[in-house]
Amino acid sequence: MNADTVTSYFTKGSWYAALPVATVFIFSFAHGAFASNLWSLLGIEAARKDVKVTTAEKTVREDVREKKSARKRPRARAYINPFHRI
Amino acid sequence: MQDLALESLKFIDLNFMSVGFLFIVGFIGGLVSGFIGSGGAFVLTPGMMSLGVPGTVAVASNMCHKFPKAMVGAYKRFKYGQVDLKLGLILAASAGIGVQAGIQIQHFVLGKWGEAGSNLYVSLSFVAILIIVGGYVFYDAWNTARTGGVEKVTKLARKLQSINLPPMIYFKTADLRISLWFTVPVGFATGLLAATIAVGGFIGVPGMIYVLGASSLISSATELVIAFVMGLGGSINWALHGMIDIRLTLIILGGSLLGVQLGAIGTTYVKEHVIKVVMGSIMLLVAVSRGLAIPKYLNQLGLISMNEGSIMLLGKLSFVVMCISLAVGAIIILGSMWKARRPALAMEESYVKA
Repeated sequence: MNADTVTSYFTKGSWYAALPVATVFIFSFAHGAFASNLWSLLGIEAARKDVKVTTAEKTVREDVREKKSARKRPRARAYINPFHRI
Repeated sequence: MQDLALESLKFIDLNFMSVGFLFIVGFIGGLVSGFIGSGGAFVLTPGMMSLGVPGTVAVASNMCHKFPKAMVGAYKRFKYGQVDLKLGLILAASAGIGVQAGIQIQHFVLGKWGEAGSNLYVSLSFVAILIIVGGYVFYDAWNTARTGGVEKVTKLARKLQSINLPPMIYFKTADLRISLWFTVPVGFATGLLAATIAVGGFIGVPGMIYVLGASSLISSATELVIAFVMGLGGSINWALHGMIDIRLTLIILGGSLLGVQLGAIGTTYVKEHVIKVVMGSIMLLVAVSRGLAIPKYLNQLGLISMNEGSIMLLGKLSFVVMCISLAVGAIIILGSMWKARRPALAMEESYVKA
């Protein structure tokens, strides 16, 4: 049986201890990339990046800044009614 | 021919049911860990033991799955700018000392009062610490939610940050300046708890929040770094003793790597106090679960007398409550993600229409 061979090597101890540790590292790199792509494929992605809010004061300050930038600036529009009788 | 190695190590045979169970528990555990920094793995050790895995193999395989999971979670949250690597590594170094101290205490208790005494000590510290810390975390989350969801730095943290005791260290991501000497007890306690009850994050994350003054988002992300360093050290140690059942580790890892990324993504959706709500409720439920296990050990020590039937019942109840605690955590996380996602989706749709 293959499981038997693998288990006997993986549990030998001493330098063979590197085997399980290396395996989980490789597995986590491969699976991690897979899972990351899977979630983004399903449309689940991070909402906001670079969240660096630490203190209450900062939060408030940043909130204000956000609001300012989010607020729509009024745009000037020039419009001439061609049917208007002068 | 029989599997000699599997037989001699008492490694269990795996069937569809046990693989499915481990995968699902791994996924939910990963989800919780990715969200609050740790605390998803505690169901796995008793869970594996209930499948017939010997205690040491269960602990070793669990630890071997914990550190790659923490690594993936930490990497993901590092990309979101939530991890303070310097803080994590400094705390991990002092946690290493804490782990050694915890092991010494365990040996002392084991030598003096035997197996049951050691179990009683573990359960009592579980209950005491989780009720005190978990209760406070929950109370604080409640207060934050009531006052509009803005986190405040505690008085204790502000006081400690103002004490100028060299060497002072500035942590950039966490945006705080504090003396090295105040980070050491937090790391030490994390390690001590990790060696005693296997979940250091239950003290590490609240320690970072309330003692050092980091936000819960940064604390829970930084905890993943600590878990990675401690888990790697522990796993190498277990691997040297040949106690890791790589099959169990990989099955759990398969589920938990999916979960940990979802949990990490979840932190970007929700308000910060939700992390505290999840953590507080899990801690209090786990405290109840361990409290139910205490009569068994008291009985073994001859301090009280109970019949076998009711002790069995309490043991099962304890495991069920533990599973419930994990499930509650997962439900709160997914629920709040769902809630936070709806307005974002609606906004996207309105953009598309416009």
